[in-house]
Amino acid sequence: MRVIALAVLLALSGCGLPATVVILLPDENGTVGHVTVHEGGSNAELDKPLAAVNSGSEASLHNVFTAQRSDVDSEFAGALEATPRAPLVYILYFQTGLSELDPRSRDSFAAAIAAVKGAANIDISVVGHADATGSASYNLALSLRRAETVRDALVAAGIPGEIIEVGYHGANNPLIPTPPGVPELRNRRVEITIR
Amino acid sequence: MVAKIALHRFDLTLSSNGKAAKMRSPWSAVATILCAIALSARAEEASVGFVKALSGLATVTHGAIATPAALAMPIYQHDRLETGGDGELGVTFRDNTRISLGPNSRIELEHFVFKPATKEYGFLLRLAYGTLEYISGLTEKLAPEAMSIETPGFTLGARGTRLLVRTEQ
Repeated sequence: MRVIALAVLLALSGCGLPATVVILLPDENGTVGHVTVHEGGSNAELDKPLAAVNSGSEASLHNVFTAQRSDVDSEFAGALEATPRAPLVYILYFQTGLSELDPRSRDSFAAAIAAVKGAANIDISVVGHADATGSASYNLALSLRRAETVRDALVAAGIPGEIIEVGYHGANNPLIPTPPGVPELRNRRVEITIR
Repeated sequence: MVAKIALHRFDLTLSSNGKAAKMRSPWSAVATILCAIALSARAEEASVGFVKALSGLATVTHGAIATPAALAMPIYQHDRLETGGDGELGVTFRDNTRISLGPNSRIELEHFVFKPATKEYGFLLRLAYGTLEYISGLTEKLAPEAMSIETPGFTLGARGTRLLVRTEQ
């Protein structure tokens, strides 16, 4: 009861959000995730837009409420202003066994270049992958060659090499899991992530 | 079942941003030497993120050395990030997780491991005080149990989430 009374008091007094608080926001694409707040032996589950809880004490966890958007925007203005831009991911595909870019991926490559040139203060990951045909060591080497091909193409397009990190995962990190030996175009890829 | 082959040695970052190797402020011989020691110890360690947004005063502390934050500055595991009364700071990590701090805030990056090829993940942020926005990245998507945010009073486990946290000193 004291918790509810406090919440009512806060709401009536226009004090805004509690000093110690957790608030769930919708993602930038509109979907709503899920947060569990643990304190002592108690939990609060937040799974609705602007669901919030005063996390200042175990007892207060039982009172999940809906935060006012205006309070959130004013009391978290600093953190919300400093949100980094969303990373962009471009996927380029390759023919079996080859490290030359498939012509069908040229548009994706051009889009990645345009995104890089339109942004400042970026870092780029170029991560190569192979499908499950061939041996593990062959696939690691192949995925590295693919990533290096893309890195070299980015550099040739005028992007400084020092902001590009190259990685390779062989066949260990498929987009589409398959049994060993099965060719899968969607796994023969290089992912360019622009942050 | 898919046969998973773990090849730990091959989950390598071949080249990383070389900015860590640059000296920033040669105030004195002592500071320079301390910097050199700290930076050379870190030379083998890859950065885990970069400063992407900055306003006012913010500080990044590597080991015992505090440096004013700057855009594009690399962030390492165990770093402490702090903002002053007018400070705002945003960081994007290598797994695409994004965080931002409002004024008068401090976080510690306790743990960060992101190795999808060998399925090794870990991400622990500690908010000592202030305001934090968190937007989930690949660690939370690939290994939700590996991600957590702690404060002096409570712990958060998140699933596909954007959230705000405020805690008092």
